[in-house]
Amino acid sequence: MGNYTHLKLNNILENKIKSHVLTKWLKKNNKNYFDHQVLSFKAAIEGKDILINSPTGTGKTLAAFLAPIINLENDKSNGFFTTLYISPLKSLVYDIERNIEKPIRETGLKIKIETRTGDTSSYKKRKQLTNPPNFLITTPESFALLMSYENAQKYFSNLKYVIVDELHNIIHTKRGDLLLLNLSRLSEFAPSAIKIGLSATLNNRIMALNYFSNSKNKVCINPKIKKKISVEIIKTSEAIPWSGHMAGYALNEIYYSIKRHKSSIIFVNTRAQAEYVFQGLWKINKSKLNIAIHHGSLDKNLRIEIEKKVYQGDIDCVVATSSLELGLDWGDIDLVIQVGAAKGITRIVQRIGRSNHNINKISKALLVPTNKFEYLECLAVKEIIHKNNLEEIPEKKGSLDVLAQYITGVACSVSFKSTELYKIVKKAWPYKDLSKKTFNEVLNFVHNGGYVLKSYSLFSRLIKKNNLYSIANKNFQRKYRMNLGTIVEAEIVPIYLKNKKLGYIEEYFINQLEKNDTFLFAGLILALDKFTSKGVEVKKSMGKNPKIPSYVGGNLPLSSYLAKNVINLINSFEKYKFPDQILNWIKKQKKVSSLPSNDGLLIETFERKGSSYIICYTFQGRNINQTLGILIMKRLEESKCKPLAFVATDYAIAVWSIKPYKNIKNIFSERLLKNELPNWLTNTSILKKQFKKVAIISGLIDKKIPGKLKTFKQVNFSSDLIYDVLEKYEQNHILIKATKEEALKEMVGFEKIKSFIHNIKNNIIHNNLKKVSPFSIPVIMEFYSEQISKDKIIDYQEENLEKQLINEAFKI
Amino acid sequence: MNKINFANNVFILQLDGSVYWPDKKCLILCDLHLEKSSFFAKLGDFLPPYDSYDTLKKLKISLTNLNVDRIILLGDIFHDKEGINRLNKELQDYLESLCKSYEVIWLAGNHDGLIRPKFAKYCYKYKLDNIIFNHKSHKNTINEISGHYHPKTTLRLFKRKVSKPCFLISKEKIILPAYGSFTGGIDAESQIFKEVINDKYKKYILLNKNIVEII
Repeated sequence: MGNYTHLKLNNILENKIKSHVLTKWLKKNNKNYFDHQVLSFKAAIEGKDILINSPTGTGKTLAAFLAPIINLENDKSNGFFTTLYISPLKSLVYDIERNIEKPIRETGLKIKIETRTGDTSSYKKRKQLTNPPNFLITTPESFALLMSYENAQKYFSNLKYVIVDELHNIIHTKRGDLLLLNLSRLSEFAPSAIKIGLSATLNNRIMALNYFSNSKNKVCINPKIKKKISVEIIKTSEAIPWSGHMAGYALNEIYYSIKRHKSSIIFVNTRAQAEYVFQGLWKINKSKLNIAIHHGSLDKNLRIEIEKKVYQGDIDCVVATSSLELGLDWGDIDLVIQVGAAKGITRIVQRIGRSNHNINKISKALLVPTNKFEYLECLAVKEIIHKNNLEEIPEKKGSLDVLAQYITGVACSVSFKSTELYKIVKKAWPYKDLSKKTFNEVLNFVHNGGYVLKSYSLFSRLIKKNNLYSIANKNFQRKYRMNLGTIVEAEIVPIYLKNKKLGYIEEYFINQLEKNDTFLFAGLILALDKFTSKGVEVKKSMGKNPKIPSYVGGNLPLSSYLAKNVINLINSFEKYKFPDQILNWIKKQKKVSSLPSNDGLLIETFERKGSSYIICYTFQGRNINQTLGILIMKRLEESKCKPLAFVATDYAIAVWSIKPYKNIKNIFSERLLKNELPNWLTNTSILKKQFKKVAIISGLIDKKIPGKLKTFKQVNFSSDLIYDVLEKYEQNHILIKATKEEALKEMVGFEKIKSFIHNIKNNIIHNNLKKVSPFSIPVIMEFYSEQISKDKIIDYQEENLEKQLINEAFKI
Repeated sequence: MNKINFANNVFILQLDGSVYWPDKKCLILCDLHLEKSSFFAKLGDFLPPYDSYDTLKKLKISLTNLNVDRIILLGDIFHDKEGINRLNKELQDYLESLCKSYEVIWLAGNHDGLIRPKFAKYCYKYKLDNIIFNHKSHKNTINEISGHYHPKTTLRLFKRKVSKPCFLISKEKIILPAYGSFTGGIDAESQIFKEVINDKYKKYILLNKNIVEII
């Protein structure tokens, strides 16, 4: 130990390490550097960009900070602020505390470290601008804000290192787009700054390295450390339900598991699930365990307090939504419980890997399927994890709405020439193929809306003078800073019980309920009473079981890789020891219909509640099923069957219509493919949903801030109305283009659809059934469906009206 | 037919949200909110600048199809008092030509009350025969046609909620839906209408091709 000769360091480097107080402090604590930490230090001193690829708990953070710490005296000779650390996790505060601040404190090193996030006070933020620390710890969004200040260039000019943590979390996302654009501009200010990326195990490392670094001088460091993982599926006495996404049936067993562990975290997919599980566990909490809940509707202070308690180990169990995993530190958590499907192997492996921070301990996970299909999915996940296969993260082209937001940010900071900004944008990986034409269209949009046929001559967001663009006034600066970010939350409305506000509920959910429909909220069974200008009024319900049991199973598409494993499990069900209820379910399906097979396509049709249903068991993953769903809807429209909606799950597509479609075997005829995919999308709900996000991120309309609706009248603008006008008068507008691009990212390419259709078209097994089949139940009970446009619905109604009138006329 | 009897007169409800009074060859409409998009552009929301064009195109079509001598605009013709200055030349000319070819009665609304149109007859209140026209309904006025509230209503069709503008019609009053392309609305069941309208009212919803009475 203490000898790095096998790493082939030169004497100067070796001495630098050996003589440093940090090294001595480690030795005093009977510790030493891992090889990858020393190698990272060496690469950084050699001026290389670095990607460190290893599981959590293997000292990546220290590896990244080693050069900034050891070299600080040199680095700060020209300026105090040397290192910028960016993490998408809000828990970075605790992480840095544990890994960096503690050793620094104990060695007596004089290094000033500060954090800057949305939670930082404005006083501290102002102070940081004039008096920066040595190391600044921040998030992609707070970094983007810093870059929009007028002094950004000067502020960052002495930067030596930029560390991007949790790279796997933002690679190929809109957050990643925003970060990379800002990093690209940062490189102009501090060209010699070294970029260090930290990532959990990824399949495609070279891709990840190239993603954040376009330096010629770069290296991947892959320590050969493997974290041991154990995955089990919960065994319960009660049966797994047919459908839905709640885990009521397994609460007793979940409780038993958390009792046996020191500290556990229960991941659920939605706020509703979180509420349900949390209330359920407290009802049976005989041992008075400390069980907490953590989700987006909670008050900020409460949330921070819970995060702190989890970190300090004061809590036995926390129920958290997946969207908030970024806000939690894992402290001493030794069991991860995943309620509902995890949708994707990489994701679950990373989640599990965070438990039992110590690399030598086994990370344990318990999977809780919430319906019968999910049991199969959990089983497939377990098998794949044991085989240690990770799926690829699909590459994503840079989003144009994020680009618009970024350009506005640049204009807030400095005046720029279009050609120069284009060059900077092109250096960011997601935008490397961006054409000058598209860039100009986005710039024009930021400038004054970018409308071609008519334009705003009186107003503009940017001023153009001598070929230089800059922000037109301070109000637009403020507006930009208020709306910054790429995460658009679902719209929520306040919910009132006898004039008392209970909290907020997703608008999409509540809009689909009728008066007196019952549902679960804040642990209460409530009945919808009425909508008012304030929000939703509800009554307490006497019933024991809410009529609407569940909604949204998490919108993450399952990888098609996983879906194919599920169909394999079904087809070889006799080889597995399934619990009886699963076995009976499969056998029943086989009896009343057929089992979906690997080389043909099973299609079922039946009538239910006045609608005709078509179920296609494709097992292709949600993206391809979504695309096929649109295709079938078009086909039914052509055939005047009046389609109403479709659901695309990872396994199947369910479409329902007013009239039955007769020619099932030809439903996927290749004739459908003569029209290009983007054209199918026009006027679909999918496009309108995307448009809303694009409109908010690009800065066309403001973010909705709950509770502030009254004072911010302009945010009340219906994005659907805007979309309709835009589609009517300017179909080629950049936002329509951006919307289509985003919608297509959630679907699959034309070629994939073509080859799928080609493979199955002569191989369709059609079962016309008297009623629903066992396999179709989880699919048709799915809450989120893609519906036909409201205009079409009105057309159907009016056609009925006319028929009625004719009938009446004949009666007379 | 969308013919209704109101205050001893026959009116025809139009699919675009206006009301036609055949006896007087009169077209009645309200809440056009012209230049709403440019109002927001000033605040930094660069909405598609096609709303005024879209709204006036609708009006042009109605005028071609009907035999009209007189147009009664029930206020909030522009979204704000500066709106008229932001309207582009082509549409300004069109508005002006309307005022020359028809007798245009221009009621002041709460949004645009400060605008004084050059060619139209400007007033706060207007009366023709026994019918009283207001921008905003006065509680105890009868035989009144007004706008202001942008009523809309929600239907449940094939298990879907569909919300569309509607007329509210009682024995004493007619409240028109908004005519403008970028206008939201207030639900017909809102307490506001119960305070304004004394007796029971019917809702006539504007669908794609029909106006349908909702019971």
